[in-house]
Amino acid sequence: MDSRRNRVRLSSLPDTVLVRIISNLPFKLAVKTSVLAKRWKNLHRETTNVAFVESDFVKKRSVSYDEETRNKARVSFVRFMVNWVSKFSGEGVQNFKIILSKTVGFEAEITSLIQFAVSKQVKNLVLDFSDPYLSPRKQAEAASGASVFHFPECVYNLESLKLVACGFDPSRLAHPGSLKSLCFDWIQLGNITALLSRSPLLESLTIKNCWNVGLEAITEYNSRLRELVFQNSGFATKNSTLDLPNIKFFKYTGEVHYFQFLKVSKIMEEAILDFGAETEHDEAAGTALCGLLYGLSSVKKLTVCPFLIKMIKDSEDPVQLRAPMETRHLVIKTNLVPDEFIGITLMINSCPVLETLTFQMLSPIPEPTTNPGFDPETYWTYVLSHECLKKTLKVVEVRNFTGGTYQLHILRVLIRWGLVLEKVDLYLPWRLPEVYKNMARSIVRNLRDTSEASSDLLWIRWVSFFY
Amino acid sequence: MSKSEKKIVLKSLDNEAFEVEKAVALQSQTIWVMCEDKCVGNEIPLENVTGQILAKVIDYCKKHAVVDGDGDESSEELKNWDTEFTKNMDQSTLFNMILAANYLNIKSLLNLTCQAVADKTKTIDEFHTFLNIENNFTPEEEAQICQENLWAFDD
Repeated sequence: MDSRRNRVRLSSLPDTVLVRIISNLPFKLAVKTSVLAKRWKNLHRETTNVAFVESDFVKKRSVSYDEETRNKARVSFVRFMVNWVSKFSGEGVQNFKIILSKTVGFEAEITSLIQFAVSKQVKNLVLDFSDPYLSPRKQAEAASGASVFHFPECVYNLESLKLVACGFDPSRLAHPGSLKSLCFDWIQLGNITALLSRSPLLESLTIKNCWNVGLEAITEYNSRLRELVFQNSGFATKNSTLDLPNIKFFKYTGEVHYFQFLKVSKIMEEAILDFGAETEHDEAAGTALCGLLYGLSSVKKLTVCPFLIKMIKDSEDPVQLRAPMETRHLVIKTNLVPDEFIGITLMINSCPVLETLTFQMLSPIPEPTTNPGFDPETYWTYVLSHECLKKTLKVVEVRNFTGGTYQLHILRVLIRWGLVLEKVDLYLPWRLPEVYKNMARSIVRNLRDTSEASSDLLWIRWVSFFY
Repeated sequence: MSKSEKKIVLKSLDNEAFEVEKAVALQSQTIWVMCEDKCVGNEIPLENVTGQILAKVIDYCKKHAVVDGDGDESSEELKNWDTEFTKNMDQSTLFNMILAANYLNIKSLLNLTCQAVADKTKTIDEFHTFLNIENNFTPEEEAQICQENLWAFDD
């Protein structure tokens, strides 16, 4: 009876409300609502949420992925998009997305689709022209030759823009004043500052796989910026100055690029610094990276990489950073070779209120033959008197725990001197043979013996089903 | 409209009366217009909403009246509150909320409840069942529509 009443009453909803419901559905599902009933046949043509995704449209089994077949499929996909747009009967479009693996030969159609979206006051625009079947190198080549699309003059309503392998000249975007979120991937960004200096509402900026990024500075003009992400991008400038008092999330992966924070944000949530396989450096690197850490000193969760911990020990003061970090959770990605020991000690020593310490073990590298200047076998036997060990450090985690000698050295010393330590979690690598679990069991037993002297409340365990 | 702290009474279809602050009630465009017109006294009859649903609508409006104008910290909290608000609503309550939000013209609540319907239905069959729609197509008509958008139906 209940359902009957609903049926009667739901049909009393005006079309505008049904369109609102449809607009919350994924585009493919929205199109499917056309078979529900006569009233629904054309309602989906008013959806405010349009997503043209090539892989949705092209049936996988019919594509052998030779270029000719793919191109034919692309032609019919593009025809479909243009046709769909021509039958659109709604008032506006909130989200508009095109995912297409190649634009060559379709420039006019793509331009008209962009124009359509802009004329419908699109708020969130995604244009992804990368090809999932290309290797990163091929993708870079393809992206550098991508056709440049001209955006219509007025994008007054645009709040979020994501462009992937889509030729774009940021300086040409007129009236970007309402933009809150920008994401560029596989794009040449020589003129990026021209865009930033006209986007006062910007809150999130992501730059991935881009090249020639001409980012000299982000100024106070963009003080609303909360989230800043750089991934594997190449810069045209030697360094970048950041004046971002309200930044909450900062992530940098890729080759070393120097950032200077003009103001220290007081509310920083998380920072990730990963310089990957970077090895070359000059003497200034350590000092510059210490300066970067100083700019991030209020961050609650910090992730650092082997390159950084190796470099900071060569900075001006190899015992402590310029100012104490307020970090509560420190993640150290490490190979745990002697070269990194001093940097690790320095990082822990610089975080006086640390609560959680994570070692993320990387795949082993050959131990460098250079003399570290101390005996690595006895390095971790000295008394650790760091502030956080006495008062705040509660949790120690090792990810990818393999039971290596130095891993055990560090664990013993942390368990011995961690006066308020409550928990030690050892995460074994994924899909480990049973025999290693026995090893883990005996290691945990052994570590528990170490701990007896320090605390009865310490909980040490190994975890094998993580990931 | 004066910003006095005056209270008004909302009366449901089943004659349940709710006394609320004006600032709370005026999130409804419909009530706003009624107050502007001064065609009603201090008591506003809402002929399309039951007491059970109206109580929920008022909960929503109270929550959103308090938080409006605060910083970002609370907007995150408000989002979570919204999610919890619709999470465990059964189908009939949710539809009645949509109808009420539409009638009372509370845009954000209408958005929230329409979003909730979409969140609860991941396939077209679930959508069909949840909305309880009677299919009035002939099989031939239905087949033809599928054919027109084969890509969407082919999975």
